[in-house]
Amino acid sequence: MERGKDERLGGEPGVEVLHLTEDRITFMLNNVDISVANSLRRVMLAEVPTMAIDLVEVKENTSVLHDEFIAHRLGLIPLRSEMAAQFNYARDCTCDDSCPRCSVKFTLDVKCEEAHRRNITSKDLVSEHPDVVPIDADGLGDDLGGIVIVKMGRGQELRIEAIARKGIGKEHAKFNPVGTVAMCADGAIDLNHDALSTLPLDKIYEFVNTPTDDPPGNCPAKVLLYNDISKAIQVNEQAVDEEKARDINFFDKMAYFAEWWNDFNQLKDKTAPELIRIRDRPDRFIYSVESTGVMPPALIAKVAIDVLREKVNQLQREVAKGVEDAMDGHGYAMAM
Amino acid sequence: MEEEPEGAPRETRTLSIDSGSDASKATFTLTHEDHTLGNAVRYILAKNPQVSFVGYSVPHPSEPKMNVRVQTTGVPASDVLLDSLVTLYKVADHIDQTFAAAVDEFKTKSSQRV
Repeated sequence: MERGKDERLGGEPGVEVLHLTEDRITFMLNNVDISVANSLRRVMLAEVPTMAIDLVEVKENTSVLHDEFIAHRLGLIPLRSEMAAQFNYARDCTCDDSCPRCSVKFTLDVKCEEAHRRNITSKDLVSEHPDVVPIDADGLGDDLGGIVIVKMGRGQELRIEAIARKGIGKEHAKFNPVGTVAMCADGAIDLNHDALSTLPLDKIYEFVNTPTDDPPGNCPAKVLLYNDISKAIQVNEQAVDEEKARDINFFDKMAYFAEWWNDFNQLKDKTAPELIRIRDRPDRFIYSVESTGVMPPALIAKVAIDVLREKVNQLQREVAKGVEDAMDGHGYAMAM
Repeated sequence: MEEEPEGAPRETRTLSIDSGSDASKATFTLTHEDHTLGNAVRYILAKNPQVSFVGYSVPHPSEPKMNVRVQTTGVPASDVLLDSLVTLYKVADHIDQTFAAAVDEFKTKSSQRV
């Protein structure tokens, strides 16, 4: 097999980025089977290593929340994890307990001196490592910025030492780097031009146009065009590409739209042909990956592919060794 | 929060092969693997013409264990399993190389547009 080529699908796997923002990447993976595509989705969800607070020592807590509650909330704070690859897992590290190679120390030392209340947020957490810090949550929720850990009244005090470690989503959901990973098969729109040409003109305009309110017969986006001169309806492929990059449910919505119009066409005559069909392209998959902010979304996908490859590599070595051992032990090869 | 992490240390990973007297049929039991690799390996084996039967199972979701059953037309089952892992490695490796290029391409394209 040349360069990971899949014979049945007849082509090398390919990647095309459809959309990329600070917190989301949409990309298409071509020429792979759904099983391989799903492996990648699962790895992004559960096996991309990130950092999160894992051990909390409470020295003083006179806030209204009990120690465990606060420890849990600290664990859930997303920490920038671009550097995660450079840390050891605590269980694999050579140190006895924790060291700078496997952990990052955080301190929280606050006392409410204000007259009324004070929000203790992720901004009050002091990290020992310049790159492993709580994510910048400005503009999210509270106008103070930062993620609220606890609200304190006058005179209350919190002194905590916490240790962040590397982990994966499989171990605890707090290590999950993504909000969502949506994956769906790419689609294609087939128009039945013969059947469409029998529609009266007002119905054709209804079919093509997208009015502002949203009854089921509306096209979910402006992707169909009626050419007044050739009297034909066309699919605007560029608009389809833009729509599917914007909305991963686009083809699902198109399928509802198609069903409505096909039902409409078959109201009087059950044997009437379909006007439009939405076809799956099961060799092409669209992913929409939303980062929680711990890593840029493209890095999440990149690390996930690396993790997947290394998982296979490790398994390959283990199986090879396991087979060798079995041969030594039981004359396994002779049984052939 | 001092509970033992579930993603267990590497050394507890085990592989057992249950093959009987005929090496062309075997059940491989892998620990700490799940549907992530199981289904992909199953698919690649199913496409191999030398494989007459392949199936995988995760007997219980809270037990980190996966079984892969492989029966071939004659060659050792372990050989085809290893082949499938090599293929899957190549696929992942190829996607890895392609992905970086695709992100760069998109960035260049969108910076030109601005």
